[in-house]
Amino acid sequence: MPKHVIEQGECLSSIAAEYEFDWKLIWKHGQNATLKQRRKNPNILLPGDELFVPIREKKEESRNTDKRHTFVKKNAPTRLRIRLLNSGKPLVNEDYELSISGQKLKGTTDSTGLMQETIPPDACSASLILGKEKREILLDVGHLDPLNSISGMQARLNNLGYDCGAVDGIVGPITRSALKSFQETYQLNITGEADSATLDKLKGEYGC
Amino acid sequence: MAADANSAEEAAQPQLADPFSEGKPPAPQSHKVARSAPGNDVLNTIDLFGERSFSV
Repeated sequence: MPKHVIEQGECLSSIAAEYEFDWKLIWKHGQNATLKQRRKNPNILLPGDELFVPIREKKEESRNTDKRHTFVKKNAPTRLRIRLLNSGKPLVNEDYELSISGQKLKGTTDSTGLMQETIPPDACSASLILGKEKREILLDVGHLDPLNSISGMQARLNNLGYDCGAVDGIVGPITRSALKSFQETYQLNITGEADSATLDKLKGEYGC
Repeated sequence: MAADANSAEEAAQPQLADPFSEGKPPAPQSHKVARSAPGNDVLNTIDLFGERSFSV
């Protein structure tokens, strides 16, 4: 039975596209029940996770001859959804240009600061240029680790402006300082520890 | 995996010179984000100017 070991930058959408599957068929497979319980979100997996990918079965459909028939392949589009903030406030009506896999996608953020674009499922890096100032931010697409991993927590804190330094999966003084700063902002117990109240708040503020 | 920038040893190292002092802008920071799919909407949030630090 084929097992796919997750590498950095992969998620179920990218793997489903690689194996030409609907992601839901893979995720709902009984062999992935343990992973499903552990990770909750199929698009946020941890490198090293093992995903069972079923063998594709041949399917036959009977149709009348001498007629034209249309078959539609299920192909769920992958999207990138980012809420952009400026010191905690939504970056409203901001023009952006997203460069990803050789495409340039232009748009404007909505009233909540949200930008969303359909992207190739295997796209791993992107550049987002914002506003008249042409401020550029770089994106590692599909590189966000689960919230219950240290690296996932660090990446979320960094994105929200709480500097953890390098996303290295180790809770050192910089990460503890970022946690304290986050806890101070949201009036949580300032412990510098990734307790459940802090992680719940971080999930709420980040979005996943 | 990158070197542990959070270890006490590394934190104690002297800071690098300000890149602006050489007239070079700092390299843009890369943000790790998740993909979204129909039936599994994933929202990311990036605060572009929200650089916060904890002061004791």
